[in-house]
Amino acid sequence: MARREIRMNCRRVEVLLEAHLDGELPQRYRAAFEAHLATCFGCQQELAHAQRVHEELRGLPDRFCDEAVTRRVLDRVRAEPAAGLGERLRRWWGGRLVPGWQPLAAALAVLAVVLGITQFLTRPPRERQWTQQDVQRAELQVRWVLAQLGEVSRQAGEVVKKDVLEERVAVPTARATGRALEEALANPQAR
Amino acid sequence: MSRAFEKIADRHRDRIFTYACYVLGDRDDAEDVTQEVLVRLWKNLDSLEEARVFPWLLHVTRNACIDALRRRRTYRAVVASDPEGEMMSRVPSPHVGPAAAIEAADFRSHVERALQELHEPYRSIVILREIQDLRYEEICEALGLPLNTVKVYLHRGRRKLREKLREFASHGTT
Repeated sequence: MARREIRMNCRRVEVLLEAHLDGELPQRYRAAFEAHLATCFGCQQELAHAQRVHEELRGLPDRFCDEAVTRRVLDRVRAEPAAGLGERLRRWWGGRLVPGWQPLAAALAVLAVVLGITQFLTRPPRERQWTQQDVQRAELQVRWVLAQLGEVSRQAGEVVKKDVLEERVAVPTARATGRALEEALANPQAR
Repeated sequence: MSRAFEKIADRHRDRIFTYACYVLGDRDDAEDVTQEVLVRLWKNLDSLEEARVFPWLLHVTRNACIDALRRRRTYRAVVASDPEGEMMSRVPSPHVGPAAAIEAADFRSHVERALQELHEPYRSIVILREIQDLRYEEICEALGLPLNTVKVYLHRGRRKLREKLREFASHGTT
């Protein structure tokens, strides 16, 4: 199968330039890349500039540090005040517990939580001393609850009376009740 | 412990210093950073595996350089004056004439200046890869970046560097 011809332009050359500088330009692009460069003055200049910067960077020298820096560091760390107990312990344990201290700490934390819960659940019941004030508060609470219940019942009764009874039953008025009582008293035989 | 420390410090001191020099553009600041990094090495020597010392040092150096740049209140540090002339390395080559040597030295100083105007992490990656010739794996570990990201940043960093050099040339900056 014939390989498709790769078309090259200035934009593509710009994209591939870095790979070319690193010697990592894929084989399939090379011929087209070089053919374009041979005919494009702009890309030739771009490549020359890039190569010069690349070489300049590669040619920048290493710097050499004054050897006394190491000595100064040692003087400084030795002159530092002795570490406190916490710091010394941290260093001492740091060197020994690094491989497995986290699981151990986690296990201890879990154990502490389990012991705490067990203590809570198995503690003996305490006898509470009730004061007069507690009793009064409880009475007030009970009254308040009963009052609420009464109010709820009253409202429910009103609703029942209105929705169910009012349509079907004539609720006697005070005057009608009085008249009925008088009639009953005047004519006891009628009952 | 101090013997082991001195051995490691001697092995890596110049590389730390070179990196800090090119990031900060100033010898004195770079020396301060190197000292700070070596103090931290001393404090952490017990907990570091030998194979991981160099990437750790680069990581710490980079952070110390960034702190130093913050202290200067600007990321775009101007190339500091260098009384010893080492930073600019304006040493004329014996194979070229005086005009070409001056031009070459100017170009080098422009490259160093452009480098310091690059933003992080482009600057660090260009320095570590192009100047210090580190392997990609070492750069990835030091900067905590994946390989592809490092490669992309390197290419972008070099392109930005060239653009800056063109700007300098067009403005006639010296």
